[in-house]
Amino acid sequence: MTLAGKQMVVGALGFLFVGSLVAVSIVDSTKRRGTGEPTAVVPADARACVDCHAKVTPQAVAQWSHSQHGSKGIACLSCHAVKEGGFMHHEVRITTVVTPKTCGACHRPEAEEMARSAHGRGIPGMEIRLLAGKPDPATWPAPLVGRINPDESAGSCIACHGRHRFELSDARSPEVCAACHLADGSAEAWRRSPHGGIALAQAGSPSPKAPGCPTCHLAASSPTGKSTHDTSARVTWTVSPGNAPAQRKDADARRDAMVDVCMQCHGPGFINAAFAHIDEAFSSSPVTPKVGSVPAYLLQPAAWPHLSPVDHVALQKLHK
Amino acid sequence: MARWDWLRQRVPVSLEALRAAGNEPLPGHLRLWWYALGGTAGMLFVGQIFTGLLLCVYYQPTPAAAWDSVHHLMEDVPYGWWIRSLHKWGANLMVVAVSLHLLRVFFTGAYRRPREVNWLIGCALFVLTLVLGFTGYSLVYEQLSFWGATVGANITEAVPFIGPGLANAIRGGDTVGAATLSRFFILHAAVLPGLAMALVLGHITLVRLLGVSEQAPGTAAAAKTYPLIPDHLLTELAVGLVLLIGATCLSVLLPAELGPRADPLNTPEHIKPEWYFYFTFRWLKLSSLRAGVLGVGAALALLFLWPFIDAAIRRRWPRSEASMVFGALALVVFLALTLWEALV
Repeated sequence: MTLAGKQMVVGALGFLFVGSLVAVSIVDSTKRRGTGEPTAVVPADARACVDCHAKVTPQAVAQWSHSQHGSKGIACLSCHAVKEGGFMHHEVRITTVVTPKTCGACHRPEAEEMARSAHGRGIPGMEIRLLAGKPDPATWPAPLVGRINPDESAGSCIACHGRHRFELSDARSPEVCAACHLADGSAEAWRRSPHGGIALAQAGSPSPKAPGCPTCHLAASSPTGKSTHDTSARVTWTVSPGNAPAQRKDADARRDAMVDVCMQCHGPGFINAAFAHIDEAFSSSPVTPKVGSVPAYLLQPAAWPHLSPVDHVALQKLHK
Repeated sequence: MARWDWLRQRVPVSLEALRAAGNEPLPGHLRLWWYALGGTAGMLFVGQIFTGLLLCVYYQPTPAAAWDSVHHLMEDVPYGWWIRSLHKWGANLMVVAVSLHLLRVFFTGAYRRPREVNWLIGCALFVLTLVLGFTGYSLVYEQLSFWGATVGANITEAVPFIGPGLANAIRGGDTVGAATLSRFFILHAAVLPGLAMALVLGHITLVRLLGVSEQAPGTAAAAKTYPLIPDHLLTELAVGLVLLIGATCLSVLLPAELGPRADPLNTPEHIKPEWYFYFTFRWLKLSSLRAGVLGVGAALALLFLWPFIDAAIRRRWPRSEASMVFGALALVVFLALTLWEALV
C-alpha cells in the first residue's frame, strides 16, 4: 500500500473510532447514577401494584426493589397471585399468606429440604384459617415456624429470609436463628462458647474464623459436603417439649454429616470426645440438677451440643 | 524558530539525529501484519497501563471494599464500565497477541542464533502476561475470581520443594483473604507491569541491536526495504486504531460483567479459570496434581529452552524440521485441551 493509501486508512479508522465513542456515550447515558436507587425490573402486570403500594406500603416496595427478585423482574404477582382461594384485589385473585409451596414453585429443592426439617413441621392448633379468602384474624398473624398454612404446607421461608428483600446474609446471621433459639437455650449456649465468641467478635468479616449456626447446620462447609435447607440433616438427637431426647432416624448418617463439618477445624479425638459428652447427656436426660444454681440454658437439652468446654464440665456434674 | 532554539539550548538533543538513528530501513516482509504482532502486543500493554491507572483511581484492595468498589465503578462512575471493559478485553487481546507473536517467531525460526536471549525474554513476557491476567482477575473479588485464586494457590502448593512456602507467600496465610488481595494488587499494578516494561525495553533493544530477523536472507525480496517513519508507524497506528475500535465494540456488545461477591463459606459448583488457563486446568484434571504441575513445569522449561534444544538437533541433523513437528504437535495439544475444557 502506498503512503497516501495508508494515511487514508488511518484517517478512516480515526472516524470509525469517533463513531464507536458515540456508541459508548449512548450506552453510558442509559446508566442511572448517584441516586442510590436500585434498578428493579417492574413487569407490566405488577406496575399498578408497585405504583400504588409505593404509597401505601413504601417499605415493602423499597425492600423488594433492593432484592434479587426485584432485579430479575420477579414481582408481586409471582408470589401473591393464586388461581383458587384467596380474594379479589383490584380484579386480581391474590393471597396474603405466601407459603413454602409458593416459594417451592421456583426454589423446589430448598422447599423440599425445609419441609423435611423441624422448620417445616406444623404444630396442631397453629392452623391459619381463611375467612372469605382472607386470613381469619383469630389465627393470624401466626408464628412463622410451626404454623400450618391454608395450603397444608407448614412454616414459612420468611422466618429466616425476611419478607420482600430476602437477603441471603440475613439468613446466614446467627442473630436470625437466635430470634427463636434463644428460648431453647441453644443460641445462648453458642454465644457463650468459643464458636460464638470468636464469630461475634468477627461479625461482618467476609471470612470469619469461627462458625455461626448455618456454617455447621446448613452450609457446604466441607469439600464433599452439600448445602441444605434441612436444618435437622446434621442433627442426631431430637428434643421436643414434654418428651425425653431421642435419637433421630438415620442418626449415624446425620452424625457423619456433622462430623464431616467438625473435621474441617478439629481433630477426631476432640470430636469423638465432644460427641461422647453430648450423647451421654442426652441418654441420661431428663436432667435433675444436683448442684446449686446453674444457668437456665444448661438445663435445656437443645443447648447441650453448643456448650463451651466449661459448661460441658458443669453438665457432666449435673449428671453425677 | 526562536522558541525552539530556546528549548534546544536547554535540552541539547538533536531530534534529527534521534530520528535518523531510529529510522533504519525495515525488511519488506514487515509490511505483513503477522510480522508486526510484537508491536500489537506492545500497544495493548500501553492501553492496559492507561486503563489500569484509571481503574486504580476507584479500586480499593480490601476484602470488604473490593467488590463494592468495582460495582461502584461499573454502575455509578461515568464511563467506568467502559474503562473496565476495555481493560478486560485488552487483557484478553494481549494474551492473543503475545501468543500469536510467540507462534510466529517460533514457526519462522526467528528464535535461532543469535536471538536466543531475546526468545528467553519473550517467553518471560508471555508468562508475565498470563500472571498479570490471573492476578488482575482475582482482584475483582467476585465468587469465581476468589475461588480461582484459592485453586491457583492450592495448585502452587503442589510444586516440589518450594510449593507450600510459595503458596503461603502468595496468599499471605493459609487462606485467600486481605493479605492476598494486597499482594495481588501490588503485583498486578506495580511489580509485574514494571518488570514487563523492563523486559520489553530489553526485548526491543535486542531487536534494534541484532536487527529484525530476515525472512529469506540473500534473496531480492529480503533486500527490499521500507522506512520505519512514517511507513511502518502508520501501519502500527492503523493496527492500534483497529484494536481500539475492536475493544470498544466488544465493550459495548459484551461489557465486562461482575459476578456475585466472594463468599469464602460457599464454594461455587463450577469453578473455571479464564479461557487462557483452560489447557492447564484440563491438563491438571487428567492427572494427579503433582504430576500435572510437573507436566506444566516441563512444558514451560521446554518452551524456554527450545532454541538450545533445536540448535543441538540441527547440529546433528542440519536439515531437520523437528521444530515444525514439535510446534505443530504442541499447538494441537494446546488447542485440543482448551476446546475440551471449554465444551464441558
